[in-house]
Amino acid sequence: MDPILDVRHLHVFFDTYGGTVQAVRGVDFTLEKGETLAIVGESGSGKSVTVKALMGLVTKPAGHIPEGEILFEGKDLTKLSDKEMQKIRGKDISMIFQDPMTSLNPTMKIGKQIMESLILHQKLSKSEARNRAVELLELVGIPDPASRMNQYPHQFSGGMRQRVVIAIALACNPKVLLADEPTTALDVTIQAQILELMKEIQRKMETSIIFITHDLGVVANVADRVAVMYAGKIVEIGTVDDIFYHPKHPYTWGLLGSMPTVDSDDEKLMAIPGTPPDLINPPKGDAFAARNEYALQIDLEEEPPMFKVSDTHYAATWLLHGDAPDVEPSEAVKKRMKGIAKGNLSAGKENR
Amino acid sequence: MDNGTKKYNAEKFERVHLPDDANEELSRPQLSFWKDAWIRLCKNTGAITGLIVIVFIILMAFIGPFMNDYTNEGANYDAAYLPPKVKGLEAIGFDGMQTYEVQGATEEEAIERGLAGYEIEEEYVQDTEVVITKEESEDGYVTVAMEVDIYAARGLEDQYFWFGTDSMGRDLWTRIWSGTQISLYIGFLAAMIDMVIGVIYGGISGYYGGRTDNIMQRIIEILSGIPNLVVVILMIILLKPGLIAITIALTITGWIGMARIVRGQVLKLKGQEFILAARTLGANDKRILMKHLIPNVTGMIIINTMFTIPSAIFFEAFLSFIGLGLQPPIASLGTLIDTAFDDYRVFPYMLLYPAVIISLLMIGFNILADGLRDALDPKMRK
Amino acid sequence: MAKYILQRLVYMFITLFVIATATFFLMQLLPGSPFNELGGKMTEAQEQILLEEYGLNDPVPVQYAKYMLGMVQGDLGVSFQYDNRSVTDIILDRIGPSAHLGAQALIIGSILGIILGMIAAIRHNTWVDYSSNVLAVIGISIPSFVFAGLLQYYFAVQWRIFPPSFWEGPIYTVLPTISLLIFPMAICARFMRTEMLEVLGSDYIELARAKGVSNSSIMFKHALRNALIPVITVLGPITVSLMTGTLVIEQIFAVPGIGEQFVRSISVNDYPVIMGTTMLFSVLFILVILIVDLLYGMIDPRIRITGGKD
Repeated sequence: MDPILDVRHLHVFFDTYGGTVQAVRGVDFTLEKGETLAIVGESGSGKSVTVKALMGLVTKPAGHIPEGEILFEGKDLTKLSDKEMQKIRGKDISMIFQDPMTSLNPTMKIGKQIMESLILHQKLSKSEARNRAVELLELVGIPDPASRMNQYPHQFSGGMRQRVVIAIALACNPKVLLADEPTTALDVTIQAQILELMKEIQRKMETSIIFITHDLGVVANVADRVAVMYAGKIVEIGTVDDIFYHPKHPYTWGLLGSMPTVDSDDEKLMAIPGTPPDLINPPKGDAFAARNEYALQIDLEEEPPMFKVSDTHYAATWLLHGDAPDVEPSEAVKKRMKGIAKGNLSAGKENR
Repeated sequence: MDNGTKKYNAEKFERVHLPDDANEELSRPQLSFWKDAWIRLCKNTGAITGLIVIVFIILMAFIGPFMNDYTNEGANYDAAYLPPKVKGLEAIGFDGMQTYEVQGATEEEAIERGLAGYEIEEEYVQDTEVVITKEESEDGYVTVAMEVDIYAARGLEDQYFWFGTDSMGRDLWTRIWSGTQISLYIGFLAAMIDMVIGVIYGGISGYYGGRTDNIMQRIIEILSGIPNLVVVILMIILLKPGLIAITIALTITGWIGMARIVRGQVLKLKGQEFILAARTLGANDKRILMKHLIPNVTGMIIINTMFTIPSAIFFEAFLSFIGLGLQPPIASLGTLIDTAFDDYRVFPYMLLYPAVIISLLMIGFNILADGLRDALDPKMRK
Repeated sequence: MAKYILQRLVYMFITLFVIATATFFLMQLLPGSPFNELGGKMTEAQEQILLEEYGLNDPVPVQYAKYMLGMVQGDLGVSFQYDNRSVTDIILDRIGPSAHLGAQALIIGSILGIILGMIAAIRHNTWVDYSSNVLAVIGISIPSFVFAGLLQYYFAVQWRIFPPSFWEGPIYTVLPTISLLIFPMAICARFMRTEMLEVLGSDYIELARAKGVSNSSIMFKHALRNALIPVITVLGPITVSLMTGTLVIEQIFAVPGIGEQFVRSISVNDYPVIMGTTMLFSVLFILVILIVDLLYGMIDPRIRITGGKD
C-alpha cells in the first residue's frame, strides 16, 4: 500500500538579514496510514519547520522551499497554489500547536473557533456545525460542552485549551494530524491525559500522526517509528525498538544518554557537549562532527549517506561504513538503554 | 541507500579529537550588548539619516551665526523685509526678487498703487502679471503680481541676506541659527531634567516596592490625570515667560513618563534570577542598583530621553505661538515662526526656513529614537 | 468591575480637585491686579469698585470656597474681558466650532490612520509599508501650526482652492480639519501597524491558517478585532493633541472656537476664562482616559469577565 505522505528531499530556507538560514536540508521520510511517526531533536533542528512545510505554512517571501517534494495521496503539496492548499489545510491535514495558551484567538468564542473549519470545509449549516462542535468538545473530554461553546479561551485552563485545539484539529476527520510538541507546555499529569486522548482518537479514526517532541519519554509512549533530526537533516530513522535498543548514530546515543530513567542510580545525566551548528553557514561534512566524541577524519570532509541497518532502520553516520572502527556507546548510555528496555522511563518528564 | 561500494582511504576513518574550543568557532562571534545595538542601529538607514540631520543642524546652529557678518540684533529698517539672496544661486530662486500682489480697478492703477504703497521706483519693477482679471474676481478689482528687485530699490545691491530679513531688517540666517541653538538648549535641558527626576523617582519606587511604591504610584496617578498642556500654560502664566520658566514648566510633569518606565523595568528586573543570584552572593543594595539594575535599564532611559527632546522642542515652539513663549530679544525657532505668521502671505520665506528646520529637527529626533528603540529593545533581538 | 469603575471615579475626582485647587492658588499668586492691562488708566477708586464687585477683596479662603462651590454648580465665574459675561456662557458660546472641528479631525484621522496602518502591516517590508512609515513619522514630527501654515499658504493664498480663514460653512472646515487630523492619523497608523504585525505573527493566526481559513477572513475575522482593541489607548494622546491643536489652528484659520478665545484671554490676562478653559480641558482629558479604560474592558473579553487586567 502506498504511504499517505511521502516526503522527498525536502529543503526549507529562510532569508534573514544575516543570510539564508538552511533550516531543513534534505529530509526524506514516509508516513503510513494509521501510523504514528515521532520526530525528535533539540531546538532548532528543523523539526517544527518540517511540519510547517507539510502544512504549507512556511511564510513567503522570507521562507521558501527550493527543493523537494511533499507527496500527499500522490499530489505534490509544494506545487499547489495558496487557494488549493487552503482546501487541504484543516480538512485532510491538520495541526496541533505547542502552546495552548497562545494558539486560540482570545477574542473569539470557543464554539465559533471550532465551527469555523466545519462551515468552511464540510459546508455545514450553522446549526449543524454547532451540533458537531458540541460533539467534538465531548469527544475531547470537555465537560458540559454546550455551555462551554459560548466561552472565551481565557476561561479555560491550559489542558482544557489544548483539548479545544485538538478538537479544532479533528473537526474534519483529517487523514494526517501533525502534532508540534502538543504536551510540552502542559503539566505532567495533563500531558498523560492528552497523550491518552490522542491515542484513543487515532484508534477511532485511523488517523496518521506526526508527533514532534524533544521528549523521548513521550516518544516511547506514543510512536510506532522515530526519526531523529539534527541540523536540518534526519540522522537516524527506525522503529521505536530500533532507536531505543539498537541506536547507531552517536547523536542518538547522546540523546538517550541525556534522558533520565527511574532507576538510574548515578544522578548524572550525560550532556551532549557544545551547541548545534549555525545553519546560515552549515559546516562541511557531518554537521554533528564538532560535538561528536567518535568523530572520524571523513566526518570533517564529507557528509555521510544513509546507511541501511535493517529494513526499517537507517542511520547517517560514517561509523556504519565497513572501514570504520568499531565503536560502542559509552557504558552510561548502555546502562540507560537497558533501563529504557525495562520500561522504566520517567515518561513525559520535562527535559527542556 | 547502502554506499558501501564506494572506496575510501583507510586513514579517513581514523578517529579525530577536536580541540575543545572547536565548538566556539561554530557559533557566531560574541558581541557585547552595546556593540550589537550599535551594529543594528547602523543597519537602519532611517535612523542614521536622522542622526546625520541632527548632527548637521546642531553644527549649523553653532557655526551658522558666524558664517556672515550680520548680527542677531541691531535693527536696520532700510533692509526690512528683504527676500533671500545668495551669490551664485540666483538661478534657483535666491535672487532677491520680491513679488507683491496689488489690486486696483485697472492693471495700471494696481501697479501705481503698489509702487506708492511699497515706496518703490518704477525702474526696479522687473515684471508684472495679472493674476486675477476683473471678470474672475468677486469685488471687481484686478490683482496684479509685481516682481521687484527690492535689493536694488533699497540701494543694497551689494548685500546678500541668505535667508532674507525680518520686519526690523535683521538677518534671518543669523537669527534662525541662533534660534535653533535656543530650541536645542531647551530640548536638551528639559530632557536631562526629566531624566534625572524620572530615573530617581522611578528607581526608588520600583526598587523599594511595598508601601513606598504604593504611595509614590498614587501620586503619579493623580499627576498624570492632569493634561500637561494645562500644567505648562498655568506655570508659564505664573512664572512669566522666559527660558527658565519654559524649562521648569516642561519638566514639571514631563518626568512622569520616565518614572513609569524606569519603575516598570526595575520591577521586572528585580524579580529575575540574576538579581536574586547577586543578592544571594551578598551584594548590597547600592551594588545591585549600580551594577545590575541601572545598566539594564539604560537602554529604555536612552530611548525615552530621545523622545522627550523633540517633544520639548515642539512645546517651546507651541508656547511661543500662543504668546507664552520667549520674549524678545531672545529668539527661538518657535518665536521666529510666530513672528513670521504676521506677514507670511506676502513674505513666505520668513515662515519657510524656520518651519523647515524645526520639522527636520523633529523628524530627525523621532526617527533616531525609533531606530534606537529597535536597536536597544532586547525583545527585538534575534 | 463595578469596584474598578468606582475606584477610577474616585481618582478622577481627586485629580479634578487637585487641578481646581492648584489653578485657584496659582491665580492668587499672580502679581498685580487683573485690571492693569485692561482698562489702561483707572483711578484707584474705580479699581477698588471693580475689585469689590468681582469679590476680589474677600479673604482668600472665602474666595476659594466661593470658587469651588460655584464650580460644582457649573459656575466658573465672570470674565474680566467682557463685562459681566459668565465664563460658562462664553465657553458654551464658543464650544460649537471647536467640537465640530475636533470630532471631524478625530473621526476622519483615526479611520484613515487605521486603514493606513493595516495596509502597511499586510504589505510589511514593501514600498507601501515604507511610505506609510515615512508619512507617519512626518505626521508625528511636524508641528501642527507649521503644517497649518504651509497648507494655508499653498491651498488658500497661492492656489486659492479653499478659503484661507473664518468659519462660514463646510468648505471652511477643510483646511483646519486636515491640519488637526494629521497627528491622530499618524499615531493611529503607527500603532495599528505595530499591533497588526504582532497579531499576524501570533500563534492563533497560524492556527487559523492551519484551519484553512482564507487570507481575507484571517484579516477581518481574526486579526482586525484583536489589533483594534489596543488602538483605543491612543485616544488619550490624540485628545491632548487635539486640545493643543485647537489653540493654534483656530488662531491661524480664525475659527471662533474655544482655543482662539483661550489664546486671546492669555494675552489680556482674563484669568477667569483661562481657569475655566483649563478646567474644561482637564475634565475632557480625564473623561477620555476613563472612557478608554472602560471601553477597553468592554471590548476585550479577557477583561470584561475578570474585571481588571494584570
